[in-house]
Amino acid sequence: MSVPQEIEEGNTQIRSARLIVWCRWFYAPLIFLFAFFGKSDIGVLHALLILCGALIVVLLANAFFALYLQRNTSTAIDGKALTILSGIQIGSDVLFLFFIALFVGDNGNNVAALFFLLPIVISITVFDLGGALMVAMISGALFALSAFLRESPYLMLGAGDVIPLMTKELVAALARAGAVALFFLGMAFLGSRLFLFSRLRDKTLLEEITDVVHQLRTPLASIKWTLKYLLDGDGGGMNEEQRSLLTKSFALNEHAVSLVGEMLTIARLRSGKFVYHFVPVQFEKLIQEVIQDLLPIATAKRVRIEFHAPKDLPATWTMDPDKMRDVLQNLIDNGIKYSTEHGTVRVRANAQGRDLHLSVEDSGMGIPEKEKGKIFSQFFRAENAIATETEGSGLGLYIAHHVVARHNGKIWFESESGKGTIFHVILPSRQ
Amino acid sequence: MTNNPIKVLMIEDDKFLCDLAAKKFSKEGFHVLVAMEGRRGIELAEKELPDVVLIDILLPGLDGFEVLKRLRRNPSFDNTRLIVLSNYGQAEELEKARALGADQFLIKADFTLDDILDAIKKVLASPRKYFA
Repeated sequence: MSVPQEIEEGNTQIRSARLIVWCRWFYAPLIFLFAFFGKSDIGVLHALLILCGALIVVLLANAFFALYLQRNTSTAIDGKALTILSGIQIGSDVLFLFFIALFVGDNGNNVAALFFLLPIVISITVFDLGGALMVAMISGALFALSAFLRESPYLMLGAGDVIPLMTKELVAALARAGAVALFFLGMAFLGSRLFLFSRLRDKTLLEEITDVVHQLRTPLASIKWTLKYLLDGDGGGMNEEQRSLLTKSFALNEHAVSLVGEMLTIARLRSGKFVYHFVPVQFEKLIQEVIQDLLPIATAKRVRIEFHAPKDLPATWTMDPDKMRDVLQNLIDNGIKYSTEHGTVRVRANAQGRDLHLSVEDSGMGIPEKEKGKIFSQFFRAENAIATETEGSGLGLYIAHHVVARHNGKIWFESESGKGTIFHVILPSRQ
Repeated sequence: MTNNPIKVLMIEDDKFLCDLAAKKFSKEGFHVLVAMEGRRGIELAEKELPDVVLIDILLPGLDGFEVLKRLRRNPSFDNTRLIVLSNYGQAEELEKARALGADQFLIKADFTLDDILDAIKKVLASPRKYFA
């Protein structure tokens, strides 16, 4: 598991969410043990029960997070849900640490304060400056509350006595808590700034790389024109071997061109320059155009493409036509690529409630179980895919996921190894 | 069909591509003119009044957009098809080209010379849409 570099894309978010869940299995019990040995002797049993309870709750919550992230491997989880999940995780951590701080006194209390840096650092990577500051504030407030409860007689008596005794110790503890809270805010601010700075450096790097990738297109275009010129016989006749080699070169060059295109798309996606234009689109016509374009490839492989749509489908649907065209092209092309010879690719469109449901089904190799979770990752191609069809960059589904998410839709798949795969896309109606 | 061959002016600074395109287009029966720089391209256009002008975006001196703008401004070219060639293909470029009055926008890496020939024939076959 590697530490994520960017925030934006869903899969990096999922990976970082999983990383945090994994770490929590370790740090929660460790912190609990620390508190267990370091706790103040105030109503010992009371404290122990509450601490155990807090640990159990945190571990249960963590199990829930782990299951949630696991269950959704075949769906691309949307960014908003992940952000909410991260918020809940951070919230549960902060609450847990509140209880720890409540029961650990003296020098141990300083360490308990430092533990709050964990959720603060997590929030720096997940949220922006505002979010991180808010987490810092809540941590500071809860820490102050824990100090108040510790020092005031409340905890000792356990009774609902109304008047807190403003002892010297209490005032000192509260002052200290105030300092700690300021420390949290400072760390949140600094951390966010540092994080933003490193992201800015990444952004500049991205722009530099994009520039070079753009320039790649120039020689590739020239090569394309030259090879085609020769293949057309405009440079003179050639023998079978020459023709065959040039044909292969042309195909490889085309592959290079499409890779460059995909790299540029990714770069635009990451730099936030992907502009969407939502307009009413005659999507049935769009689907048929895409099928038409891919027909030569399908016929070469003796794969049939069918398109099914009920008559009562709405005439238009609001979407970004160019982006959705790319998505459909990718799904249908994949269907053809990974279908068995004489197989069929079925494209379906129907309306389900207020949503448009598109699906592309192939009769191909299917996606192996252990690779299902990674399908939407950048550059990922399942092993059996690479074995069958070495040319394919694996970027298409990654982009497709991004496009569909931007439409507030969902994209997922069902697959059985050896039987075939169905990709589903849901586009809610946009008003 | 016609004794007047189609006149194509290509404004492109890459000599290699120019020569290749010129050879291809001549074989197709087009009358090909070539300029490797923006200002020269405009001069040639005004002198020869081509049917189609292929303009590369990246040009030394006057860039492709400027050439496009100046040609479109000139009423002598109201019927001339202006096709922009680019290697970048960013949406902003496309928009700008369209706004400046280009009839077509082609990314060089995505099209072969044959495709460009087809595009030229296609764009000549349909009447120009006039924008204010």
